[in-house]
Amino acid sequence: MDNTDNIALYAFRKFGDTVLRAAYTCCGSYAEAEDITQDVFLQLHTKPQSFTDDEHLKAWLLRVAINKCKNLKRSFRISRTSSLDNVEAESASYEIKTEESSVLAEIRSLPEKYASVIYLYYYEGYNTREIAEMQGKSENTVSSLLRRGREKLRLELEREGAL
Amino acid sequence: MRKEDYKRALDDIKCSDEFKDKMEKMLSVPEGAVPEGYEDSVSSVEIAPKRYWLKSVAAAAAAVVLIGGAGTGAYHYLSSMDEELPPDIIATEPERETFSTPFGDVSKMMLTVNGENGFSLMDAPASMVGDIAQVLNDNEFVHLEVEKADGQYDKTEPFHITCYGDEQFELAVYPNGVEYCTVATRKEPQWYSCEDIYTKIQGAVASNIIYADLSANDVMYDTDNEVQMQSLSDDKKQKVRETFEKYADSIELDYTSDGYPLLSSGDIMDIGEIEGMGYSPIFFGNYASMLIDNRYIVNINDDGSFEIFYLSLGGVGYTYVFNAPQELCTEIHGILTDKSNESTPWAGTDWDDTASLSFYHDGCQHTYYIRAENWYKAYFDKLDWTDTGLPVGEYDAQNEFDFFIGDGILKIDTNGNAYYDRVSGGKYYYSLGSSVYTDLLNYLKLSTGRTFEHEGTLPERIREHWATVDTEFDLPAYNVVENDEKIDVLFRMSDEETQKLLDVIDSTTWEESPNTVTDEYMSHDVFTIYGFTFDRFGRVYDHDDGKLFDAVESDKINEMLGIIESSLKRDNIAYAQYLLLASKMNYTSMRCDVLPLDMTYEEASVIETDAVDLKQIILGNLRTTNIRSKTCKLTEEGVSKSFTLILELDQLTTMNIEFTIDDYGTPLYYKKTETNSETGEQKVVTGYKVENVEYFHDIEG
Repeated sequence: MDNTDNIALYAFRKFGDTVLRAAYTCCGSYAEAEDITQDVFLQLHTKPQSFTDDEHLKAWLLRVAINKCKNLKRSFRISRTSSLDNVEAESASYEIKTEESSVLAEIRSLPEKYASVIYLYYYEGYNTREIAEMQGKSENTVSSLLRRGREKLRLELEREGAL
Repeated sequence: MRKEDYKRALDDIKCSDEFKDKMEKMLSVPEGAVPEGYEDSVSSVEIAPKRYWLKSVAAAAAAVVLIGGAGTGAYHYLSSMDEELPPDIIATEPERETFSTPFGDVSKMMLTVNGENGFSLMDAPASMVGDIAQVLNDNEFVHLEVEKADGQYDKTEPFHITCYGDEQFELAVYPNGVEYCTVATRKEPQWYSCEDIYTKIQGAVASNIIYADLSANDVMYDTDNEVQMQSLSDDKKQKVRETFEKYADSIELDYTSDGYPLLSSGDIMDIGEIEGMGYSPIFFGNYASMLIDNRYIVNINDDGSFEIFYLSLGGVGYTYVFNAPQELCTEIHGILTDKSNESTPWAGTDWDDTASLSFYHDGCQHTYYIRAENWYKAYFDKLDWTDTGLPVGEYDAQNEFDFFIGDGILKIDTNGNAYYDRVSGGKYYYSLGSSVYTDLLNYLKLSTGRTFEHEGTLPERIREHWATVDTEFDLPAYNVVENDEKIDVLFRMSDEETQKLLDVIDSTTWEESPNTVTDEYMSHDVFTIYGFTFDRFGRVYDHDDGKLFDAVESDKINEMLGIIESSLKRDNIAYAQYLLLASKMNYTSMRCDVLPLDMTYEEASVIETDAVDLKQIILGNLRTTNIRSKTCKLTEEGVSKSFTLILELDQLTTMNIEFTIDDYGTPLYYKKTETNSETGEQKVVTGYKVENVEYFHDIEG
């Protein structure tokens, strides 16, 4: 791991998309995902930590991002309003192919507890034991969440006729 | 959805150029510095429009998620809270004014404690409401006229109270004052300064949360780094409470963190769950722990501190660490470990929750769950238990009874001697000099050579069977997935202390390895099969990743299960069949625990089913051994489903087993009714546990 003079900047350049993607799958909103991504890296910037390697750094970033998503979800006083302009800008800030939009919609609608596990397993390639350690859950719980999350994705898509 | 679809959809989620530029700029300031304009958007609180906010508060009150904690005295954990005034408030001329708000009429309070890692919320108990109201009424407040910047009220306050009474009002509490407004006029808050008001209110909160719940019925405790807890007697609860009260003024909050893992909604909060979540008393160096009301754990440390872990379903648990006088910890430890008033080693233990009997006989280890109404407790209580002071002797591994009672194990050898191994208090040795061992054999109707022989080694039997399985099977195109042949079987042989994991890779390859997967079952199951995932056509998939395990017809699955059953010959095989039946009702997954005798809620919950086409699956897979006829009724009401198995066991006896399933397909509850058509006698068992299991019928009848 280089660029140890500014670990947060290094981390953002290397894992910015990863953290944003994880946050997006968990909170289902690009705007909120950006907020969370910003918080994660600024937390690292204001309170620098040391990491053994890039994998350690990445795992820390993902864990913090997912925890922040949980905090956001349970924040009963959070209220976000967006003007139509903002909505359009948000939509334009990333591209979604037409045929994949229903898939993304289903991913966004997946409850956070499933979304984070599904993401870590299928996208990031962590195994159940690593996810269990990362999230402080038992391996059995992770397996159950994976299965149920997978079923929810599949069932929802079938219902919408996407498959 | 295919994995590729999922990944491709997410590949397009990337940081926009604008966002990248913004982050690069923010992160380019010197490390450790706070970039201009930065505010944590998650841990800070945004105020929603009034109606929405109140609605949210009501919803939050209905589902009390978390308890916020605080302490008297020092206040260390959030540097931003050191500010004496809320941000953007500029005080001008002070003006002394009586703070006349209707605190006496407050009937309910919702409290929010904002910490470094977010906020915690609590619905204040009545005693806490009274204490906080008293603090507010007893202190003098000075009204300050302030200039308010736009949105200043939206800043995160360290402590927020919403009061409900004749008039609803809100208090944002800061280190030296409060911001006050009524709900009706909340856009015009007033600032009142009051020395140490934050500390005083924190004290009122802390004193309540630390020991208010110690009067709860369900207080378990643990000492010496073991997770096997036992119930705390009322007498000890009172002493612990008094000890906390005695040192209340010296207890200080040290810090708070979100070190506790999230639980999934619907998780069962019990000791096993805590263990599964990674609860590790050893890690925290405590020497006494209390689980209170299944909501939080108090760890008493030997360094003069204690931690409170708040547990929450569907929310995040927080850890609060308090500094306390060494004497407090020592005294509580002494109370918890005091055995002076106990007539038996297991005095005060709730057998209903903890007791099980394990014994070795003819090559197999058998484990039964025990309930207080069974004869064991009365039998053991009558015996004269004497601490002989003798060292622990050697015991016959093949012929001993292990009664797991509370936090200890009562071991009985073939000579009638016993010792009670209490994990929290060393070992006790008792010489019964009686016929306990033979009494137990007689009660259990056991004799050498009868019914408990093991037919060959299980791996061999499964391997033989596997060689006969037809692995060629045509599947509909949409369901074709990668073939990943594997069976995981957990087993424990009589001469082995722990379970092993048998991985059957294919028909000719299998390997044994230590069980590192399901530690929570090591203590009580005899034989566990898992790793199967069944569909309605009898195809088998890997439980963990959903890949096709093998194409096996349902009768061959039954055949394999039959082999397992037969290799575990025991009197109460009918019960094992019930569990297998429940397992086979599962259309997407199967988890089969062959447990003798009893079925508890926890055991039932490991059998997961999605309740799809239950009726067909049940009837299609129902084993007919010892069953004259079978029918099944399935009813659905909303998300909950129930089904009834009607089994005609013989000409006289019909057994109905009713299951209720939650929306995740987990059997939550069942009721068993056994009817004798000749006499009309009906035995009904309801609840999570089954009584009058056939095996003990025989014993006691």
